[in-house]
Amino acid sequence: MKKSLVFFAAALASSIASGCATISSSASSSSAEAAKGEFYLFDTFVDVALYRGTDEEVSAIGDYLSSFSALIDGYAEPAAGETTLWTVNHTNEEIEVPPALADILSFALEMEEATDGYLNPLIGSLANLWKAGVEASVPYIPAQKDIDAALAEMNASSLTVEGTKVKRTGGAIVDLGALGKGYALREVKKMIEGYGLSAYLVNAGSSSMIMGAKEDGSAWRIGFNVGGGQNTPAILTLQDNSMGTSSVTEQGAVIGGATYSHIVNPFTGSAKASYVLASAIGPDPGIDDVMSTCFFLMGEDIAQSYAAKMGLGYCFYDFDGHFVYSPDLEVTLV
Amino acid sequence: MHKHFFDFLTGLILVAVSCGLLAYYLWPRPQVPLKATIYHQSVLLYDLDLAKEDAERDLLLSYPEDTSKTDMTVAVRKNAICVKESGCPNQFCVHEGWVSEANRSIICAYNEVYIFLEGTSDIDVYV
Repeated sequence: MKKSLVFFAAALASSIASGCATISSSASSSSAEAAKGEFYLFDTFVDVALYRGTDEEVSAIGDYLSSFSALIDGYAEPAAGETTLWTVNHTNEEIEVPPALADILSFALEMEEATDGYLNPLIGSLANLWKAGVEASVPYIPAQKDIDAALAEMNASSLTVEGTKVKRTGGAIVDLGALGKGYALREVKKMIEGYGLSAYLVNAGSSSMIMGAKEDGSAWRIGFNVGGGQNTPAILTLQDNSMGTSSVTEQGAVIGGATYSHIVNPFTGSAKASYVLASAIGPDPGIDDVMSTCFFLMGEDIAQSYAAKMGLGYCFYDFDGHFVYSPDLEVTLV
Repeated sequence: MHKHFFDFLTGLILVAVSCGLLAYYLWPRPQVPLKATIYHQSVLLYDLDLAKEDAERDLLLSYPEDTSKTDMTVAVRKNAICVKESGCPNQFCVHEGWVSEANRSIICAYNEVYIFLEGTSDIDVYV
């Protein structure tokens, strides 16, 4: 009888303990509130959700992103006395720039080298040429002579950064669209870690994301918007990581049966898309943002070698409905 | 019989407690109603409970003071929302069609309009 009593007490205690864990877990997932904010920046919407965070912390993130987006805007003239990327794009003199601008320009040049030219920060003129065509009321493909001229101008231009001194030669425009959001999220990630938060999601226009865990400690379940009212082809499970995605679903046009986007190949000058989307997954959101664009241009075969070298995961979805992903990722095909 | 009765009772109580806890965990939770928020830039225009919508109705988004933006017509019905019409050049927001999944969004970058759906879903975020 004594033995039975001991056994009963131990068994009951363990049942209650596991049950309490279950109840508390389900209760916490339904009751935690997040401090949230939505900001229109970088020509898109940035969603910030900090679980157990404060409205002041969300505001601070919004303020940082707002000032950084103004700093790296190469197309909007800043206020008198301020130096931004617009200033760099309107002089061929060597100029002194804010350290944050010098840092991102240095990063862009490092990534140009690391990607063997698939990222080219001087692609602005070429990108704008395609953007004008793709976003016209009747979309059109730019004239080949204009593409060739923009390509030649880009290849004849250069950008150098030494400390906080920047010099642009030639007429090509510096455009940081392929890395600006991701680079900004590097700093946001540091801010969130400084707040001591581990459950969060910051989504910059779906093209660049950083995440901790969900409020209950579990991983985020990420779907892929492939357009045309279709369901997601796969669900990616991810936490304590970052992700960059380049996609044609929101910025592109179908012309003559082919899809063209704002993502331009710096070697050929073409913006014809071979994929609906490409994603890069890794701990550095700046690198992910760059590499999602580069993966989109490279295609799966070439992308795999860069992904392996850089320790990144990848996903691709093509126009035939094939979803391909690296084996290290936790993906459920739908 | 008396010797084993207490063991039997122990087992029965254990099974009952375990089943009760399992039932609590698996019991279906009430679904969070599907809501849609519509933003222009960072300004909230509409906060809609789509579960309470009945017949389809249209919402006009218009910016007469901003000639760089075009009018948009957003349609809502029970548990769904779509961009019915937009003057934007690429029409990607219109091509999305009716959206009824939580955590999906419809973006018109040209008009700086963002529609986000909140509710219960197996998917937390879309890229």
